[in-house]
Amino acid sequence: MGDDTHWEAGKCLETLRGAVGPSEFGFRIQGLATHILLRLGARVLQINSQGHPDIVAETQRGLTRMEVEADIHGSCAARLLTKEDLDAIAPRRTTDRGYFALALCGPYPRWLLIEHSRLQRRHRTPASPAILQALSDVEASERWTAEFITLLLTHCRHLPAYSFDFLARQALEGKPL
Amino acid sequence: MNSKGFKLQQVKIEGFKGFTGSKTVPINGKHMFILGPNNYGKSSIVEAIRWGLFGSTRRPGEVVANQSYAGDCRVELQMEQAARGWTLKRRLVTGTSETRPELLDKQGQPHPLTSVLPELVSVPAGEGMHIIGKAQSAPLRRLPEDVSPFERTIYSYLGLADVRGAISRLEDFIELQETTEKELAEEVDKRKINIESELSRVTEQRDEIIKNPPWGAGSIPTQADTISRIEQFIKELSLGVTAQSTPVGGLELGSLIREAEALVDRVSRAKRGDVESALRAVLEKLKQGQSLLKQLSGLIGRVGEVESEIASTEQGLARVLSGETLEALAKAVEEIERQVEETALPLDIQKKAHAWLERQLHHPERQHCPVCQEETKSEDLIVSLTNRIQVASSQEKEIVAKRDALKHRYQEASGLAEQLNQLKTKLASLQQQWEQIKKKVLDFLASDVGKQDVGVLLQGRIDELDNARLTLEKQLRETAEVYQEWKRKLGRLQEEVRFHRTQERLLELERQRRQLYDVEQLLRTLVLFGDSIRRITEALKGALNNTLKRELPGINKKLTEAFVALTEHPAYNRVYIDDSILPKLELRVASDDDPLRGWLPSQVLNAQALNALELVPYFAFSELIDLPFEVYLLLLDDPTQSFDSHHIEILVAKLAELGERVQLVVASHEVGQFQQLLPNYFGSDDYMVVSTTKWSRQDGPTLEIPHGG
Repeated sequence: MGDDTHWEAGKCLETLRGAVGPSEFGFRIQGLATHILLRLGARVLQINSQGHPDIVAETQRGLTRMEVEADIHGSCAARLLTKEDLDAIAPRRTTDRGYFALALCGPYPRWLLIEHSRLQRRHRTPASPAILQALSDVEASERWTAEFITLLLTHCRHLPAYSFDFLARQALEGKPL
Repeated sequence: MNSKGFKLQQVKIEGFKGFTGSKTVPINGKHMFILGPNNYGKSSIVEAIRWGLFGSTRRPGEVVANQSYAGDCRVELQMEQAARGWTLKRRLVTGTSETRPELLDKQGQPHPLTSVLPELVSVPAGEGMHIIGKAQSAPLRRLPEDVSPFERTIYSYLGLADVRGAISRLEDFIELQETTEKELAEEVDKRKINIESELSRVTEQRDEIIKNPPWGAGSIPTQADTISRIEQFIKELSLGVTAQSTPVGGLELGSLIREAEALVDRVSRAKRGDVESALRAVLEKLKQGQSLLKQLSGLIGRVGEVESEIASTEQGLARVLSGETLEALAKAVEEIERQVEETALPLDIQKKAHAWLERQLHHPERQHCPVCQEETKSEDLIVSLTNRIQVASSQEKEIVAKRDALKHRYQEASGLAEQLNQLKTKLASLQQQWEQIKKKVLDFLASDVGKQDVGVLLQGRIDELDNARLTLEKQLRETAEVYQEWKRKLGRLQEEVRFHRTQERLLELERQRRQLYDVEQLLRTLVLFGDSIRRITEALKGALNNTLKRELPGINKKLTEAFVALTEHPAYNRVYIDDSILPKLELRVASDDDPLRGWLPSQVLNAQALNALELVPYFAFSELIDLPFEVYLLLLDDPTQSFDSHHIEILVAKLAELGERVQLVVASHEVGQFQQLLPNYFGSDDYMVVSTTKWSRQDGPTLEIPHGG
């Protein structure tokens, strides 16, 4: 997918961000993340608006636990992942996966998915977006980004109207947008 | 004594610390005890040997050169191993803290230090097991619980020094890697945000242009298309210019559009300039013509008025003269005046006086009559004169009346004659002015007008000029409209150029983004490499700790034995390494009375026991080592501080045991104690005593060295 489509998707996201507050925006991103999972063939089992982990989904390989965050472009803020964050996504079985998923919501939106094992030694040190990108699972991040862009472009006009509750309910019922 | 290692045979010292001129101390491979009071130069000898071997001092940055001595600062050590003699020379480079070691064989041939004594260049002074240098205690600088020598010694003993060193270096590397990683990541984040913001801004600009395309309904032009359009525009524009058109072939887009901008400006200025200049000339001429016309009209009017006045005055004069001349009338007046004087003078005077009084202010008070000097009122005089006039004869009255009428006619005629003269003079002046204006008008018309009316001709010319003004003004408006049209065309071309500029900028930003992507890949490599190093370090630490935990019981036993033997401490009879903070090895002391508790030595031991504790590793581990190294030398600077006699004897006894395997260099101020004890524990051929008996700034220490020492 070319840069122009990323840019158009970025404008959709910018419109959404202008329509809701920062906290609600974070929830919307979490809601959209569940629909990315649906598009990638996963079954969403659990979505927590409070507490850990943010999302639990079932894939062909096993359970995936995720912590989701949105980075508003320009903040460049380093993230300090707590032990609780990491424990929440720690795989319980060999087939499980745990990810910290960061949505970079700038003019060219993209996702960074970082596996739990990569973050284990970093829960005491703040990690900037560039470090998280360096630690990220490139393939998973690209897949998520591609689905995210399609999702944003397809539903651009309606995005502000999709509440977190709506997105979560649809995802839990297995109904993709 | 160990026969495999190097043994010190002699030390030569010059300009080092307390030493001034060169002094030689022969050792001949024996143990050397340097005895003397404090501040007599004992420590300088121990330190000189350490410096000669390692080039480093006990404390970093310590000044070694004697500041009162002008000569070199140098130390020369003669050593022997298996009948081979070596000389290690070290000299301080003047003005620096650097030293130059030089290793010579017996024949004076130089050898690289690394090939003969590799250990000396790979470890700092005091480290490792091949050389043990115990510095003189300096309680203000070194804390009693500073047991790092233990840590070093134990790691060396366990053969884990390399592992511990590797962990330390890996930790240093991780620290450096984290700093680099953080700095690089911050830079990447910053640049990425800048590039993406700029990309977003420029893309928006480009899309704005595409929304209202300056190229119209056609497809997006290439740069070549735009260049061609600008060239065409320049060509069209140049056609209307008399000046030579600018050659524009081969110019790049920026230069081309600047050329077009300049040309529009230039052509517009030129065209407007011509018309404006012509209009200015016409307006000037028009103004001049109108001014002349105004003057001309004014003059014609005034001439007419004056001519009319002249005619009217001439008629008035003729009427008053009634066919007479003014001179004849003057004579008639003279004649009748004479007749009045002769026949009616009193009446004339009375009438004049009456007229005079009538003109005066009437005063109520009496005044003197100017003629008779009688006091009277003017009203009374007027009445009196009126009465007199009334009683004059009719003849007198007639002649006076006739004189008055004739005089009045004459005065009227004189006035009119004078007025006529003035009018004629004025007319002449106006005619002169007319001639002047006429000349100006003729100049203005710049043509021979013959007998034509100049006023009419002037008006005609003014009308012509006004028409010309209107035409030029129209031309000017048309030129402005044409200019606006060029500007519009130019604006569209400029917008096209801006479009290409944004496209170029987008390409440039894309290039920067690709470069940043390469940097991101490098950062990824750095970060993942750092993580690998962390995993390796953790694994090494785990393995090291396991080994330490396995080995510590045996080590603790040895440490305890050495400590008990040296101190015979009544309360604390156990020494051990705290295994809760591995791989850091920290010493604790304990008592059998309370086996579950341990203390930091400084918390519970007195100064004597603490000093003894510092010597523990040398005694504990020297027995265990198979001396695999080239030199084995124990340097002890005043080890008996705070020791009582009993413990000094214990120390000397232990030193004698140690001396079986190690060459000792020991400095002590306990002169009497040592002199008494040494013969009891050492064979007379195995040791020598160097006494420091005096010290002065000029000569340094005075040494007493036994003959054949």
